[in-house]
Amino acid sequence: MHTSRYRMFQMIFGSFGRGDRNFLGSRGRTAKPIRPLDERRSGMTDWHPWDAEHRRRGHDPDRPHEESGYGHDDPYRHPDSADPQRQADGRQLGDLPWQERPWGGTVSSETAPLHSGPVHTGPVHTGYPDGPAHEPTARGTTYRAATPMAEPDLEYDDASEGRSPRGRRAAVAGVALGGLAVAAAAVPPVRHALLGLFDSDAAPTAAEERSDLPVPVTSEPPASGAPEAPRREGPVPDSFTDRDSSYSMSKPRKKGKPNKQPKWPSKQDKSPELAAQNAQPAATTPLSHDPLQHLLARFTFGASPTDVAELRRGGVLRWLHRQLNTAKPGYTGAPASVMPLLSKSPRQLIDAVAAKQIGSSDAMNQLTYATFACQLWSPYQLYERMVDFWANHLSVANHDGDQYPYRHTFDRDVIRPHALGKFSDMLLASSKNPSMLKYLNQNESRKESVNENYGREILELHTLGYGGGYTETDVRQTSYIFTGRTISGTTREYIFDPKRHYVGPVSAVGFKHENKTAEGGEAVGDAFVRHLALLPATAKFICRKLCVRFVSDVPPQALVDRLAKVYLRHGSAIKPVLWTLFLSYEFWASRGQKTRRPGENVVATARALDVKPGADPKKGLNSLYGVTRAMGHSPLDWQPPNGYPDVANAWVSAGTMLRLWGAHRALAQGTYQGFGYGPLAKLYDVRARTAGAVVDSLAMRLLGQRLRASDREAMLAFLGAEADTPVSSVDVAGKLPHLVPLFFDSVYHALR
Amino acid sequence: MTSEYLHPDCPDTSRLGPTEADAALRARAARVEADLAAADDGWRRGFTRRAFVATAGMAGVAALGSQYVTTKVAFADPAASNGNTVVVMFLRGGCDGLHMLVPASEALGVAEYRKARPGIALPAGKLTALSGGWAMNSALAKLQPLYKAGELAFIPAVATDEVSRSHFQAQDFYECGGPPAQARNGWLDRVLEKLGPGTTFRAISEGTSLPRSMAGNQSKIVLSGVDTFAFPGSKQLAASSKKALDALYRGIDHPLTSQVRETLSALATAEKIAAKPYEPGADYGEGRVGAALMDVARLVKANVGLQVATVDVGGFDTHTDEINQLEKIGTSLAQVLSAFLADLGPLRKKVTLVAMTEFGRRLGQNASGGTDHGHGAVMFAAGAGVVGGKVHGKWPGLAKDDLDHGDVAGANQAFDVLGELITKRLGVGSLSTVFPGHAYKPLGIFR
Repeated sequence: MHTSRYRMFQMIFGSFGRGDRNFLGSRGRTAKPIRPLDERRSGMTDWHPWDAEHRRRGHDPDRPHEESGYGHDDPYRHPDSADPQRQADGRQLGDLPWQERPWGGTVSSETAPLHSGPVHTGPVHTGYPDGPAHEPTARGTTYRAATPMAEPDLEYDDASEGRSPRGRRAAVAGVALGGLAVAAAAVPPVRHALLGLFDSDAAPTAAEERSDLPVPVTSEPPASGAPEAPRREGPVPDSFTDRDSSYSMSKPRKKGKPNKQPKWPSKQDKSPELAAQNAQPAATTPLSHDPLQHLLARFTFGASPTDVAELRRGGVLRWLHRQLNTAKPGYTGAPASVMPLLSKSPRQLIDAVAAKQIGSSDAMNQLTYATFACQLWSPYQLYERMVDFWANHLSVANHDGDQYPYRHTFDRDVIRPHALGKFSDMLLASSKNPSMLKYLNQNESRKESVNENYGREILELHTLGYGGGYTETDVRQTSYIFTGRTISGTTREYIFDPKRHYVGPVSAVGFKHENKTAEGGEAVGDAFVRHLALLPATAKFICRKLCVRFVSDVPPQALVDRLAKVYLRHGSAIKPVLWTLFLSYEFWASRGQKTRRPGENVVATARALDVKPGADPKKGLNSLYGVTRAMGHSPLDWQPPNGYPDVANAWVSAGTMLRLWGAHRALAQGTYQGFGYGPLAKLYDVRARTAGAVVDSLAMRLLGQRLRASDREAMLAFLGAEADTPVSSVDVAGKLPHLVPLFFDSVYHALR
Repeated sequence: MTSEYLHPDCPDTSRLGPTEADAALRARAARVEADLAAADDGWRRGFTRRAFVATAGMAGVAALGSQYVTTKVAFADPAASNGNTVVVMFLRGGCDGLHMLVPASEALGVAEYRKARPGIALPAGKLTALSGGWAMNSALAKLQPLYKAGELAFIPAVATDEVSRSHFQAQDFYECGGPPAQARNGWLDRVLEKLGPGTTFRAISEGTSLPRSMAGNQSKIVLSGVDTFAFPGSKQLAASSKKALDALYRGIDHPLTSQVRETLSALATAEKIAAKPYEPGADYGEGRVGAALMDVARLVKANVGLQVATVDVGGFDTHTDEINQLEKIGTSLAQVLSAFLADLGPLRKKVTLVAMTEFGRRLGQNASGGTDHGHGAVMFAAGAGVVGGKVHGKWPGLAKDDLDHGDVAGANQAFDVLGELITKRLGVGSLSTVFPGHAYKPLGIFR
């Protein structure tokens, strides 16, 4: 207990006698600042633009603030910003403002089996009533029910700290909230608040929620025509059935020698900070080993100066809390003027287009603008990251002729309300959304003549994943289950039309139902959707995608498995999964292993430059739309239903690279009209006296790290100066519009 | 060979090329290569060695026109390139073969075809007769002259047991060129590897991102139009910006490094080509596919050493309204293809195009005047070296027992078609690494 208290203390108040910064943003009381610049070479004495300002106001940047309780010297904090110690409401650091559970639900120890015993998915009804006969395929794999999940291993190395006489429930809390639970021990008031969280208003457990599921049918022998194949669950590692993995499996660069794989630590820590502090990079990367930059690179659309300041000031825990628990679903940060149509109903849009009051692409364009605007300016960046993730998981192409009255409803009513909620809720909403139904032709599917597009993709792309253990028979059965879901001819909203619904026993991927009435068809479909969302193969498929998004193109399987367990344990709630990701060493060890895709690169450039909405944001956003479209990565525009590829190899393109360089120049030089741009001269320390100091402070400001010596030389060569050339004899002002883009062209900005 | 050995003044350099000027050019390029490699070594800071250094010991260069090769290239075997170009067109979405190439005779199964597709089977008036009882959707009528001239051939019922009815699995299978355990990079990447070094523009992909078939270590250029392939920003500072960019990506062991290098090295050529406005020798019509193939024709004519090009065509996932959708796409595709060959002029004797798709579609129509995912698909080949005017391969028929789960069965294999294409047209020898595990049986489509 002593150790843990000390570590927690360290975490919050800094480690004494060492110069390294802890991850609540503070540095040890006696620490000297680490100077990123070579002072002798650069001639600079202050290593941050604001240091002099501090000094002017009577602070010594090299000395801890007198009033600061934790020896704070924050290079990213503007002197005008509020004191990090005192929040607006007077709370002190340490009063962790958790008003709710980290993920808004209780920790459940329920691991109810999803099915009991093997369930055969025989050809209850295999094909089209009047069409050619379809036999169960011998080639396909036959789905066997998942064995009940083993009790998840809740014990990490947790002999003394997380366990308490409160029993199992508290133990679970201790694990999931390890760092906080320990903090609770150290800070009594917080402890009370935290432990109280788990005592009341428990959300329904996964098992309770599933009470609407039909009772699983007891085991049946497989039909003779369908030999039992070994069940495959989730994407098979050595398989290119998963597009992302298929792209990432490159050939060894040298014959016979496998490419170097990262050395993944397979560990969880008690809290994100500890994991951040303890995890070492799994592979060499040009990016600095800076966990705060890492967090921002992965969970924002690029670090803006504000993000950096907030994270340095408040630390990881507070940042995560704000991002996870205070994010308001919706379009925070987007100027209302760019998206007046997004609140309209499909009917209203159809009428307005028919009356020529608006153009037929207007609403789709506004969705693009709103998406860009949120990515650029929303304070809830983690939420936006998840919106982007889900929008590419349940992918519906925007800018598709048929979609003009519908597509925004998918974003507004399906993705955004549930982006940090439960996947089962999102999937259910998507199965009742006109945009999705239209996109995958479900609106045209009828019992007498099925269109199986949606039925196939919900299995292959939304839930189980290819190789997730479904057969062609399952695809057809799934399509039958969903008959009746369509779009109203009048309101153009989703309706369930019982007349279209196929009646009769249905069976697919472990789900069976008598499906006796047409009117009950919607409930059967709903139950089936929830069943799909909670299958182990679904958990692995989604968690692997999450890891590809946030960890590495080839993510460590152990992490995927851990996340999948948490996903199932929490009934597809996404916050616990993310929390587990933040506790993992793998996440923090993955610095630099992702490459920014073109759209991300452009948005990150604008965020680093702190580009503001300006006078005519629509115009500026439209420019971003144009440039990202030319690079094949404008938001929500991937035409096939599998979402944009998420691995670097898929984005190799010389043409795109040139366009990206063009976008860097356009943003740095302010050529996209409508936006508000700050003066470039403010990007570096005005007191820099040498060319070297200018380059160094630009690197810190734009990239959040120092450059390698060779890169520093390259920048200086571009300026036509030596490191110690006085600023006065260099044409900085003239060169800056062309020098700044080079920072964004560099590898430090290309990776994340 | 060291840089000193390859110094232009050295008399030995004369044997590096057919002419003295050419040899000097190669030698100078090789010296630049070696210098760059040395700079890389010097700048390396804690990163692992780049693999290309392995070939630096024999750093050489193949020159073609004024082209310099990219960093990875060793000395070119002149036999490696026979001057031919292969264009692989992927029809994304699962092209309905039965709606493009129709079995129009009793023997081929026209009765079953009409019965299964009461709403969407093409009526006789919408068919353009070919040979052997086959007919083409008349939307493709512009291709008929090519067929008659023996420059166009079809292959129906292309599928194997290893492709499923999933777009993505099927595309991946074909583009990887085999089962996952053996085929890790794209099949065209392995073709490039077998072809050995070439120019910067030896492999291009028209589009915005790399198709799976090209994924891998070999250098290639992805671009959408050579006209837009130019260095952005200030003209005065372009040279110093490029220099800075080159330096910024030295000594970093990351795939981006080679991308940057390839981009920079392609710029000079592209800018030279783009400087002269292109006057196509035929009307490609509107649309991206036309623009892409026009760009390919332009590069072929510019003689930049283009060996392999890929072009994607979308819109074939016809779950709804198939008649109109395919009418539109078919018409434009036929126009684009005939324009492409016409535009090439005499160079059409050097260029072969093959079109493929991930799967065919179901025999029976669905609820929406469309078809769902099926199995046996159609391929076609056009241009140089095609044994045309013919429908090649086997046809399994459309009788109930001949179907595969209600779909056209697989009777021919795509890798046989592609294998024959690259052996006969590009001179790739053994196919064992290109299509691992595939027993190659040529169908006689190419000569």
